[in-house]
Amino acid sequence: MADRPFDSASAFLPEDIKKEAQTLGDDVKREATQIRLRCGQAALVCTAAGRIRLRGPYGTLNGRHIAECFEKLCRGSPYAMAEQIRRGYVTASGGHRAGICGAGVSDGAGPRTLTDISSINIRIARQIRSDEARAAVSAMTGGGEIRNAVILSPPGRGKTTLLREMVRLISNGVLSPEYDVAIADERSEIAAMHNGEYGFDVGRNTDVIDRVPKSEAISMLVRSMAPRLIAADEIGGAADAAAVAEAVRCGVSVLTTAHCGSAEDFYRRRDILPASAAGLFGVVIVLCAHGEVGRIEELRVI
Amino acid sequence: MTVRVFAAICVVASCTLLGFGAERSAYLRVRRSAELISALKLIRDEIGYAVTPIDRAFRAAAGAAGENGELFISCAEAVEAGEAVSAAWRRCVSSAREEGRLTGGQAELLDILTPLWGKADAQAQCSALDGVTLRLEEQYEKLRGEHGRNAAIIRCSGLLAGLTAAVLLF
Repeated sequence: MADRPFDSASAFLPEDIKKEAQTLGDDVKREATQIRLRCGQAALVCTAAGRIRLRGPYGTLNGRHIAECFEKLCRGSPYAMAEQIRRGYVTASGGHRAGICGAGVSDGAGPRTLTDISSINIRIARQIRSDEARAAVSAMTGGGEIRNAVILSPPGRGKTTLLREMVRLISNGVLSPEYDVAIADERSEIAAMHNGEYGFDVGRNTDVIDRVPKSEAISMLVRSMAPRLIAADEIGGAADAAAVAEAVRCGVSVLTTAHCGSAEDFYRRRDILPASAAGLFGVVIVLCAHGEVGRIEELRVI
Repeated sequence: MTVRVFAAICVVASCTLLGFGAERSAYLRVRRSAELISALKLIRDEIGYAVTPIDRAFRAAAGAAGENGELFISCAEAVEAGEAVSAAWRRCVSSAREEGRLTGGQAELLDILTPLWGKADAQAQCSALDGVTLRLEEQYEKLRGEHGRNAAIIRCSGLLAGLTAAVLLF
């Protein structure tokens, strides 16, 4: 059986490597989390169990392979993704986020763009239906209200996937009444919006604002869409904190994620959110840093 | 006699239709040129203002491109299928030229854009589009002028040729 997320992610690979990737076993395709391309090395398919090398006809990848992959990821329009490229990633159709490395071009105020792309890491976006998400939504929506919640884990542990599923459950009213949900999808990863259509099922009462900085998107959504819940990925910094506080003050609940190893770290580290904003979250969901991706290690209701 | 008159009428009518047909195809060449310019301007605005990805810009332009819409649609489809923009553009322009939808001059001008599509700098693409559009506009003005001057002559020459042939028949 074909694995659609893997196949759609491997479609961005150079033709030589793509053919080899598509011949991988179904179990590998299902377990794959990332596809890594580095100039001068073989392509890697990463799973929880290990790494599989795709050597293609030439053994290793060269600059032409990387450029071909980059052009496919950008759909031939790097100018349309200039801001993402400047930040070192590209969100491709299907919601797959590809991290990129290369030579920075600086204009004095910081990197303006990246050229001579030398490595690409395609993170395969998946939609899951899990009991973990149901448990988290139950904790959030108990007692007829929606608590603010934050999902914490190191990178690559399934925060966005869990957030997407929680949004779907809340929006569809699976464990609670149906609520209007809005997503501030700065990196197009949560809903994978393409030509105005959602690439993932994010629920029937969900509105998405795509590729707008989170802090601005949250303010826009509060003012214009009257949501009951706003979801945003990877929150951090003063501007995000102010936007979250403003949303909560307006009676809108917030569901978000942050790169953090534990609940204690989240409350202690001021570089993520100021104490005043961190204190707004009544539900803290911590994902396991090791083992099965997306498994909840701690669900704390405050 | 009746047959001769009938034949003469047929000859006059046929030659007149040929004249009108020739004038119509000259008019269509002018119109296609104008539509091509509109399409390129639309792409320029999509890229310059809304930073629309190139495949969607091509699709938007197809609506304005009239008979040349196929050129933009097939290029958008090729890009969506993973083909490099520059390769897809060159192939589609060449095929439109072979099918007679583009003149040699138009195809040469459009080919200037080939190495510029899909680059990081939107401004460079807009400047190139402006340059090509300007030169297409010059071609358009020339075609329109020629058409304005010659339309009546082409139409009348059909009729005159028909009448001459009819007189010769008699």
